[in-house]
Amino acid sequence: MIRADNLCYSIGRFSLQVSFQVEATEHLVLLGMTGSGKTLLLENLCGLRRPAAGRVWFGQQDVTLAEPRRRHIGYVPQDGALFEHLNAAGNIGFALNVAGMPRTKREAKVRLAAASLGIEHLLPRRINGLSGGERQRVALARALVAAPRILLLDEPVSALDESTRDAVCRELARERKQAGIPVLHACHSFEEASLLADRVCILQDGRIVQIAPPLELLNNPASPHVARLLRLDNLFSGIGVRRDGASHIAIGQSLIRAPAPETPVDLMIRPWEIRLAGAAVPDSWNIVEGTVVETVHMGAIIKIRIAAPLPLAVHLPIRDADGTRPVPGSVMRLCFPDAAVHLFPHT
Amino acid sequence: MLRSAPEHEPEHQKLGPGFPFFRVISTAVLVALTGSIALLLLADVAYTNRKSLLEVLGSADFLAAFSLSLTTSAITTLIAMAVAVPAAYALSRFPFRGIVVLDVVVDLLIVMPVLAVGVSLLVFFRLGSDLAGSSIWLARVVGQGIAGLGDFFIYQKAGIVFAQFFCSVSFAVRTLKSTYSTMNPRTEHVAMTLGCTRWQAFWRITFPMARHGIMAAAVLSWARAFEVFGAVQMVAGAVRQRTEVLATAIYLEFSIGRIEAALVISLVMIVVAFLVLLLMRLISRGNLFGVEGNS
Repeated sequence: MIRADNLCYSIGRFSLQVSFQVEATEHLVLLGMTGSGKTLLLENLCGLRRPAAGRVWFGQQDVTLAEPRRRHIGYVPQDGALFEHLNAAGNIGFALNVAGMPRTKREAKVRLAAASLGIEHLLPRRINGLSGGERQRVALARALVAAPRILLLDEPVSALDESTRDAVCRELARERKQAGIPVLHACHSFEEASLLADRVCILQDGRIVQIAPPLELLNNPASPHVARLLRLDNLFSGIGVRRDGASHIAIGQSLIRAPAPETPVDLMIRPWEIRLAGAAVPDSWNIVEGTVVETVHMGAIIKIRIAAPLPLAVHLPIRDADGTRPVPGSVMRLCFPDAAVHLFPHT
Repeated sequence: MLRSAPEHEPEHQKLGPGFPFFRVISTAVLVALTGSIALLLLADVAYTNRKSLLEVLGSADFLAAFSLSLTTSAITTLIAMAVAVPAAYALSRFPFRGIVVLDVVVDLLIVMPVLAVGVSLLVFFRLGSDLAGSSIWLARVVGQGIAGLGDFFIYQKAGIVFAQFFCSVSFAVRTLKSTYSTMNPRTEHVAMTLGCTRWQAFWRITFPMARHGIMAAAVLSWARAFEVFGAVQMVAGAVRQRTEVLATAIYLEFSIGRIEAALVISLVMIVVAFLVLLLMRLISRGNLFGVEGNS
């Protein structure tokens, strides 16, 4: 278990102030834009920076002032930071070497760690000759070989291509399950986070703004900033009004039916809950008609953007979209229920 | 599992056969430069005859100066590196307000004429003698200490090393600072999380990773110590077979009109410097006449 109680750290005009807990075998992903404080937080947990206030607990032990080497952590920084004067085996076995483990025992452990990540064949190789994915696997094996009690990962796969990233993530998930330790993992891609995270912690300007499982986060982002970070579309500002005895939201010249207080509101219309308007649309549903301006294929999903008084983006299964030929310039009718509207908590 | 192609192909190989015009021009400039240096050396050789060569190489004065040059420059290099390795590390890794002033002071020794360095060292020891006569206790003690050091260095062999050190250490610091600055500090951070103290992280990770830079710094430092003349002569004097190094010997031979002898000693210095530089390259790159990488 990792626990940070009101951990404070300042550098220049930036200040970090967080409290959170990672459970014993949980994978918590820190998600935030560049400069949100993810790396600073990890470096505080590593002991590479000394917090100005607050406490850090690993299990029942207060490690706030402990040296990095006394914390028994596995740390993979952004670029792997491999030791280029050593080969892959030397890198993986470094912690065991520092601990004074006999050579034969060390070599056996290194081989075991490498085998579990499928990189046994890389052991004699020089670091300069390794590809990005191979380097990250070596860095991961190096962090895990000494059986750390927590694993801290700083954007470990963000520099990799998608298929390599997915493969490394799968190995990471398997290793975490085997090791049974908490993992704190910083990244700026929600896709990467959703591949691995039990929960996602959103960091903004050194503060935690939301912690939730990925699906919960997707459905109920705490703020427009969080929604933008998750790359969600259809974010609007409007004002709640009552028309014909029903609650509506006025967004510019458009009016949509949705429960809302009669105050200014920020809202999101969940793109995956918007449908193509067929012949029979329930009366209570909102209908928007517009011209297709952009179509983006995302695997089995097609993302369509329409220009209308209420410009919308919609995610449709490709089979549904094919029938309607959503080419740019064509007219499209979309509909969504009031449940598709998510109001951001007023701040 | 499939093995991927290495991503770290040397840059000169990535350029391939392209840019022939630029390649020809830049290579021509390089050949012109090295050719002109070779011509200078050939001129020295042309004015050297076998008789004076054998005479100089067999003389006791030359052998003493040769031995003293090699010994003092080697000792100076060791001391300079012992200072430069931590000093450059501090400049690169532990910034604080005002560190730029320290950085400039280090560079000052590179741009200062060596004669000015020699004069400054002499004046410093003179100041010690003056302070030793002061009525203030602290000034008197400090002055006596400096004066004692002056007795140890002035017109002594130790003075040669002292002068060479001040003329060469900044080259080593500058080279090493550049080396450290290009290295990823996260490697040390990771080492510290893997069980190292800060010192162990430096010794086990940064130091070996900086080996090429350390070798380059040592070579520069040695080359400077080996050739420096003005400061050495001012601090240690130019007493035959006592404080005479090769650079001083050239001056002494030239001053009494023995041009051939001065040329022979110059050539010896050039040959020694060339061999040492080549040897260092061999050790650090493991490659003599092949194309060098960008390591």
